[in-house]
Amino acid sequence: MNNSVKILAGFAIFALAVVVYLDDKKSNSLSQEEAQLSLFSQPSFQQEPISPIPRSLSLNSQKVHLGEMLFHDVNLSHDQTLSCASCHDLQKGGTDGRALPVTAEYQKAKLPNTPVFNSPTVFNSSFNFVQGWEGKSLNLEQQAAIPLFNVFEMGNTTWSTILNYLTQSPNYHLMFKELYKTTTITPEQVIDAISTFERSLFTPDARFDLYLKGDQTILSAYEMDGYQLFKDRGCISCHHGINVGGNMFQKAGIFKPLFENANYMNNIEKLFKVPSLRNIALTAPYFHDGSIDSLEEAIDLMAKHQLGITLPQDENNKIQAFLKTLTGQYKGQWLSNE
Amino acid sequence: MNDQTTQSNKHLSNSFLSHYKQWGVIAISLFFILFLFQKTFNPLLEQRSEILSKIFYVSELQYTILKHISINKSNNTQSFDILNYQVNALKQALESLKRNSAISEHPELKRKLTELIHSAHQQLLLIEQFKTNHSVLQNSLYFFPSAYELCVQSINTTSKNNTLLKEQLKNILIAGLIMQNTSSGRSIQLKKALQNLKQQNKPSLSCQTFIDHSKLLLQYTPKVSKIHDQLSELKIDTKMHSFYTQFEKTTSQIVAKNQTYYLIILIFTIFLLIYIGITLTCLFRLNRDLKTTLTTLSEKQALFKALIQAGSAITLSKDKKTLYQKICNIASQKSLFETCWIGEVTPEHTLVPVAYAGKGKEVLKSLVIPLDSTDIKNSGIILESYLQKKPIITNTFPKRMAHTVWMKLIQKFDIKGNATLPIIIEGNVIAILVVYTQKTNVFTKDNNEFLYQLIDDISIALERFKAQDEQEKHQQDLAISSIAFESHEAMIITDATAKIIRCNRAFTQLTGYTQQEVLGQTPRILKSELHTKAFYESLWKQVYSTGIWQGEIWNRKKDGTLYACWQSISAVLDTNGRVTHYLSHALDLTKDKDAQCEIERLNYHDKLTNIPNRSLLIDHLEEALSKSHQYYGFLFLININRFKLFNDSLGHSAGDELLIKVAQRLQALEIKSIYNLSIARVGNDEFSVTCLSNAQASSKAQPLAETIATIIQTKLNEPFIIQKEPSIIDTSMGITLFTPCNKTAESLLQEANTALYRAKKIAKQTAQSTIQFFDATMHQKNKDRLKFENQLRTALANQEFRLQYQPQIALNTRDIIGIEALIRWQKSDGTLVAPNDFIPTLEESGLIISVGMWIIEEAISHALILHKILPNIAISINLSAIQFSDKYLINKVQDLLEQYQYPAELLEFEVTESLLMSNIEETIQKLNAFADLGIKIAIDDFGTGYSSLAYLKRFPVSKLKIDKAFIDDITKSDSSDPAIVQATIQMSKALGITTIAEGVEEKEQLDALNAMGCDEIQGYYFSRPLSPNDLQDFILKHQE
Repeated sequence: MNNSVKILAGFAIFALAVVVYLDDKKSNSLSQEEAQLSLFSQPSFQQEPISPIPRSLSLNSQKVHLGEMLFHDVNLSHDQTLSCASCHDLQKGGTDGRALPVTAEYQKAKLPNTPVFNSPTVFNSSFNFVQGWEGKSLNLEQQAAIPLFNVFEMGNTTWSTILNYLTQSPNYHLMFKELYKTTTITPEQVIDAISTFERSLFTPDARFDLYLKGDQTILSAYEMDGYQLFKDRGCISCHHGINVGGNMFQKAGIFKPLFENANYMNNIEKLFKVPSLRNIALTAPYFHDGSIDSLEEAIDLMAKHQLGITLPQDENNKIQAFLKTLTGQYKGQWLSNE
Repeated sequence: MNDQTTQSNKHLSNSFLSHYKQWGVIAISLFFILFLFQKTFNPLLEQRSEILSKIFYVSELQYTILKHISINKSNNTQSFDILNYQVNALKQALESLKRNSAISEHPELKRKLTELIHSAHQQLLLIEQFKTNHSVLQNSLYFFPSAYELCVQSINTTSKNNTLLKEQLKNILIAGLIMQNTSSGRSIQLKKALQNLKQQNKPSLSCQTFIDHSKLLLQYTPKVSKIHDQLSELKIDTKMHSFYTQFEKTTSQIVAKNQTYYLIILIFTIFLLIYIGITLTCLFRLNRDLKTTLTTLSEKQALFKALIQAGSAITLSKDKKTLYQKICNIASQKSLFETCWIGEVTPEHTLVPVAYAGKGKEVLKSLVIPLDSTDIKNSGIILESYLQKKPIITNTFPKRMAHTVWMKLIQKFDIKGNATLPIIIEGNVIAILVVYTQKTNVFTKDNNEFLYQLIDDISIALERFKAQDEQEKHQQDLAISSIAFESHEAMIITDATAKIIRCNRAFTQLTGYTQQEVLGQTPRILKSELHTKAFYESLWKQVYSTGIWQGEIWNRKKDGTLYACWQSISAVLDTNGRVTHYLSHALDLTKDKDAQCEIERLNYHDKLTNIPNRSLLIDHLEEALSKSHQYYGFLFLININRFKLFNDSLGHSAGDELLIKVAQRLQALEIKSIYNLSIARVGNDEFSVTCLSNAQASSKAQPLAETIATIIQTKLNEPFIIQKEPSIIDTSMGITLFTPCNKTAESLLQEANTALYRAKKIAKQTAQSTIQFFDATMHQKNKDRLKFENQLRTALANQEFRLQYQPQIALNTRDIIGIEALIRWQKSDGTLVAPNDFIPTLEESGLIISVGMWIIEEAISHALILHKILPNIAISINLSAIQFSDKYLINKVQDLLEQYQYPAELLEFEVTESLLMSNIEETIQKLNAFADLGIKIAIDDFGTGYSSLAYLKRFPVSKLKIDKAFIDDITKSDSSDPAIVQATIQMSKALGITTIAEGVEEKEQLDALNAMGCDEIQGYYFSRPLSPNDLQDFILKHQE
């Protein structure tokens, strides 16, 4: 009799424990959802169409460190010649400073009908709504894998070569193990590490951002005129948001085509992702084919094609002055391409 | 047994099988329940809340996005960042919904979701189009005012046309700016304005730009509106709702299905619970039944055990009280009743508890229940039972006793049941067994039967006790009678015909008849013939008339002796007055005299051998001497030779044993033609045999006596077994013959003693059994010897002894080498007594010891004087065997030697062969002691005794003295003596022993001895024994 009482009591305690556990789980899942919902309440700054880059983002510093190593590791390419940093040099504003990538000639020779684009800056790329000139990659994770397996870029054919290299490297092996708590390195982990590093490449505290945050005196009247012109001449209609661009597709040449003979159109509507104007002063040459070397020329072209006017020189200068206030800081240092 | 085992095994396996069945049912049910329960698990239900939240999330996003677009459409300030966030979130939410496996399991739901996603995708494309087109529109709108300004500035303001143009341009500006926020009608306004303007001349470049932009506005505004309309037309809400509805439908279907499952599970669970419940109930019932059975069994076992205990108690109990107590103890065991007591019915008609056990003992101790009341109703069950003589057993005791005085006690002890059982013997209630219990319904059929059985057993036991008591009493009576019968008075019982049927031990002891001898006989066998017939007739007459006779009567024993006794004869009559038995008892009147005899016997008998002693012997002799016949009687005195030696060597117990055995042999003597043989122990080792012969003449009597003596001695010479070793003794016997005369017993003994003395003397020499008769001369000699002995005793003190010395000559040198000291006794009256006449007496009387020492001292002192003229002369002294028995002989001699400073090597002791042979070890020891001192030892009278040469080697002998008897005939050629002497001398030489011949009286003898090689001689040929003075002269003369 005693035994059955003991068994019943034990069962009851077990059942109670299960109930408590399930309740806990439920409340946890709720809190997760709440966290997701909170993403929408992104604070908007003043009534300006441009918002500043935050000073900090919560990122796993270990992942950032690992991603940085991978980003700069030429061993990830099939012939140990290229790394991500080969085309996205952090010292050159996150680009290679070239009109087209080093591999462009080779690619053009091999595949003449496939367009080759100017390397976009990796800085603040996380704030773009899609990646690439054509917006083929919806996020950094999708984008990160592309160059790895592009025959004309890093040229890998399978993940296994990359994973073998990482597994055999004691340093990487240990870091992956510590980070992801698994013995085997997976492609997702590599992509995650690289994209996390790329997310860390944001440039806050541009002078204009400081203005947006309320420092009314930081910009000169000339620059402020530039900003006003930027808005009055309609530039703002495409170049707005946190990244001053990078949040929509737009037709290149409303009034007349930007590059008549350019063989770049792979979509019917001839749309490009509007590029970000952050650190624009550092990322010359400009446009998808890197054909324009100076900012002045680029502004001029934009006015002619998108607005249908020839911008007076002083306006051009003012707008240039404004655009230069968009150069931000990386790790507390002003970004530069010197 | 085996059958039982297999059966139980079968039962066991059966129960196992049935258990398996039950467990099987439970297991299958559980399995089925679990199976159904597993069925109710559905990922859709599990993720329901998650999916629902996603649906709401998507819905909310939809709403937000559309709202945002609407705001953007009608607002100048714009930023697509938030829209992008929302679109992105929407994409992700839809993606996660798409990936949800739970949804993909349900095709209808999946289809709805696909439709939703498809619409959402279209929506996203439209949003992108909206963004692009809206931006273009926005661009123109931003620039529109500036373009107007530039256009107006380029127009000449002076002309009237231009004013109109300006007005038209202004209209275009207004229409363009407001178009965005108004309905489609405004675009017509702008269209009209533009048409108005077209009719004008070519516009300037600036104005053309303005017109281009307004055209663009006109072109893009409907485009954006269209996109916006398309977005609304997508009816994504409906899709959303449709998906949601489908989802709810699906889940509710699942829930409904699950409810069915739950119902089945519930039913099964209830079934299972019922099944388990039934099983448990069965088990409990079984358990209860089992308990009940076990209880009953144990109760029965206890009863059974109690009955066995009661049985053993009844068997083992020796008396009533023990039995009662044991029964009470058994009945009040914890498994039976709380209290049990047994009361005995007293003669006063009360019931008194005599044995009690269990609770409430202290109350029972002092309980007395009157039984003389007739008021049954008030007195309770005990009286009722007593009067009805029936057991009363009740389980409702308090109810039945409610009206009685006992109720308080009953309540105090909480008694529920009672059994009162009378113990009935021969129709009378002698005791009552009462049992109380505190338990309800204890008195079942089993218990009652137990109690009845108990009562029966007690009754049987009590009857047995009664029978035992009676038997015991009977036996006691018998014992008393038999003790009375076995009194010191001689008793016989006869039947009516005077045949003896019983007699007691006193009778058999008195008369000497055994019981078997007298049974069946009449008392006439005891008749002494001393009484007349009339005596007996008057005796019997009195018995018949009075039934008893008493008086003194003489009777005769079996051995014929008469005895007087005080006798009573009584007749035993039966109830009819007829004689059945006669009883006679007699008191022995000779008893006192017999006691006297015993004392005498003790006085006249030797304690050790239990044969008559000297006193009785004298009595016997006196009796024999007092007779008046002329037949010869013999008195033999027997002495055991060397009994002292026997005693000393083997111990006194051995000596005593020998004496007893000798006495026994003498007692067992059976010799023809003599009678009245009696024996006695006269002294320590002296026995006497007395007997009477039928010889009247001395000549006949003497040989007969000798024959008898020989027979006796032969008998005694046979080996005795003493201390398990055979011993042979020899005896000396002195015999005297007598006829009844005026001699006294003492004198007879004296005579026999004299004869014995002589026999002993002879025996000492011959070492054989000896017989000597007494005669008168012998008696006289004896008298003389005593007188002579007394003279000798005084002789030493009176200095009547003299020493004479006979020289001993070495044959080769003819030098005097020694002298032999010889004793002479010259009485005070001057008569000279020869040594052979007084030396034996000296030895017998023991005087020789003191005289011997005197001889040695005297001789030494003389020798010391002689040494002045002949320094190396040795002195030879005879030592008697008696002297050797002197413990201090060695010491005495040593003392003398030291006292006189006499050289021991010049002293020589002569000892006889018989001495050497008599006590060899002791003699060797003593002779060795002398030899150690330096004293020489010579064997005297060699050749007369054993002459064992082998023995010579063991003694420290330095000289042999050849006896005179051999020397006398040494010259006679027909004699064997010369050869013996020759052999002796040669043998001595071989052993290195000197030889001396004594008694040499003639020249021939000397020559012969010289020729044989004899070393020394002594004898009359040279010199007779000389006085000291004469010896000096002789020496001097010889030296010359």
